[in-house]
Amino acid sequence: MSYEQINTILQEEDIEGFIEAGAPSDEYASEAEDIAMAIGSEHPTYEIILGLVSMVWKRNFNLSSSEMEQRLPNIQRAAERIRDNL
Amino acid sequence: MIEAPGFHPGFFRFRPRRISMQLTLQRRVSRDTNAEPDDVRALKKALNRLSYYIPDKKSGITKIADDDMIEALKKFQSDQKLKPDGIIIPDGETVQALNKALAKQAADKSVMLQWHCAGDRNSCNACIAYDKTIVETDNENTPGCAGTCRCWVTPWKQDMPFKIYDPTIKPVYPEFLLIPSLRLPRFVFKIVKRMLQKNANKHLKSGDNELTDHGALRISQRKITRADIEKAKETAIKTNNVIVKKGKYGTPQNHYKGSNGITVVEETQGRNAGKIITTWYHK
Repeated sequence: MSYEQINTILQEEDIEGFIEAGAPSDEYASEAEDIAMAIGSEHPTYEIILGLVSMVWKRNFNLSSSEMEQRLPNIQRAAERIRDNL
Repeated sequence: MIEAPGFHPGFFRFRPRRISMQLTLQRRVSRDTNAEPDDVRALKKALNRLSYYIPDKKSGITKIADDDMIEALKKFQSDQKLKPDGIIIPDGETVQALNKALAKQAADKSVMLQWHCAGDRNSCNACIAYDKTIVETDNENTPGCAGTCRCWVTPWKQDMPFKIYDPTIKPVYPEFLLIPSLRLPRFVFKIVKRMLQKNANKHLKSGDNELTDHGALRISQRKITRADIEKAKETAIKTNNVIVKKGKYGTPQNHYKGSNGITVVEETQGRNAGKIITTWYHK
């Protein structure tokens, strides 16, 4: 799966709500890049993809466990879409 | 003798000067007396100007009363129908005859003389610059020379080789100093700008207390500096363009919409309180 596809998914999901607040479309570009690089040409399971996205998100946004819980539905949806596009 | 002012020869490049040469002696000059050295030199110069005395090329006009000078003096006296005794006294007939001949020569514009410089360490810059050039007949010394050099002249006629007066003037501000000095402000500006840029970006990196990783990555990729952020926040506060709102998950945030076109999002509570979580160029 390409970086562009992941970037589009993250942009549409807008997990942090920055794009809604006026940020440009490449707001989650670095996160998309990290995820795309981790997946590579493999076909990981949903759990692995969810773990990857969660890990990247927690690190990049410096989130606590409770904050991660708040974002989980959106992160799950993004992970599902990534898996479906593999 | 009239001394020429000690200006640099370059000042006379397009302004030839005319100095009337007049011989004035302090004491008697002859072969068997201790003559005043300055008198000897003045007499030699006068005789040389009238082409009676041509000094040795290496030594030039010295202050020593040599045989050649006495012989030249005798020849002049003989030509002037004076007693050719090789003796000259202050305000005597020979001095008067010499001054008359010098004045006559000065008035004759057809007389051309070529300047010769000994070129040794005693030579002044003016004389070196005039070496082998054609000088005016009534120039006692080259313009700019104080008359202390040992330069001499020879008659010059058409078709004889000569040099064009082109003194090598050392500029007050040589090019190699002038050009860098012109470039210096730009160079300093570049260095200062680079330093400021470096300083501006110094704190804007991943792991910084003021930023989340995401914030640092966005700043880096959008080429926003710390100075830009500071200005955005400052102008947003001044123009009352700070939007206090809750994020998607209820975390309070300040959105500074700066007049420099940058929006800075800062969280005010929670784990990232006081941290910039993202920035962008707003439309």
